[in-house]
Amino acid sequence: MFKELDPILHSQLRLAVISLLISVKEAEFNYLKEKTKASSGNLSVQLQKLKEAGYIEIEKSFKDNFPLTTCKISNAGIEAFENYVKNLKQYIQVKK
Amino acid sequence: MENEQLDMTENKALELIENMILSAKREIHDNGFYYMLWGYLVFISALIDYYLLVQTYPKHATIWAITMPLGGVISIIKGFKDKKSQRVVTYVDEVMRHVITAYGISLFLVCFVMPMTSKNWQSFYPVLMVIYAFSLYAMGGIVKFKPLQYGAFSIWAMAVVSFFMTYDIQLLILALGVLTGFIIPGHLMNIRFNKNV
Repeated sequence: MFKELDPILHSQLRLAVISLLISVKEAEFNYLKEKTKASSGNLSVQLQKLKEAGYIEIEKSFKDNFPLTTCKISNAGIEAFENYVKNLKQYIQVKK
Repeated sequence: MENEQLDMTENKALELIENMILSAKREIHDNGFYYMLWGYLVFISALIDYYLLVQTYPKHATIWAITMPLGGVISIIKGFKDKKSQRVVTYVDEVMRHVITAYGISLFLVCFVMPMTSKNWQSFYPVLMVIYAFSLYAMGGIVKFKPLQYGAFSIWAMAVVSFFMTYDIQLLILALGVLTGFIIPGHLMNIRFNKNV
């Protein structure tokens, strides 16, 4: 029986963000923007959705008097990502 | 990158995950600066100490009191500067931080507590070299940079020889040790960093 792919993660930009965050301890907004090649507005919206789902933690601070947004994946995010990859593999194996 | 791409296939999703993870993994911050800085400082200090010693200058070891604090100040300034420009903290950075802290504490104990008992000068540089090698081997493994580990092996070997040598010869061995363990790997790391930028 197939489990449905998590709709929060089954979106290109959100999946890209989570994949980046799973590989690092924490990352600044501009780093994620550069790696995903997304626009600031779009990235902000998607980060907010991930935060609302409890998948990431967002910390706002200041660096050299400029606002700084730092993101890190939460334990729920790690679990969701692992489940997503597991389900994805099942889909791919059946299609082979 | 598009906002919602609901027609993203499973294969495309897997490819995206792989690309992003690889992209984050390629994050290399280390340009070998600290290895070169401390390598050259110790190399020069050891040779000056040796020269003054053979010239029978009584305060031959004074050079260390100048170069080591200088290295500390430069490292702190560079550390703050790097932290400001660092946009991502990888798990490698995190583990390295722990290793460097452990290395710093061990060095501090050897440099400041061990000399309190003057009879231990015979073991001072060899023990210092053992700590250098231990840290270099661990750091080389963490950042997957073999020259650091080869350097560690060479320093370990030199430390063994050094235990049986007199103080003046130990200084020469120390200089050779930091050349192979810090200076050469530091330059190689710098070359790798510049290629990746």
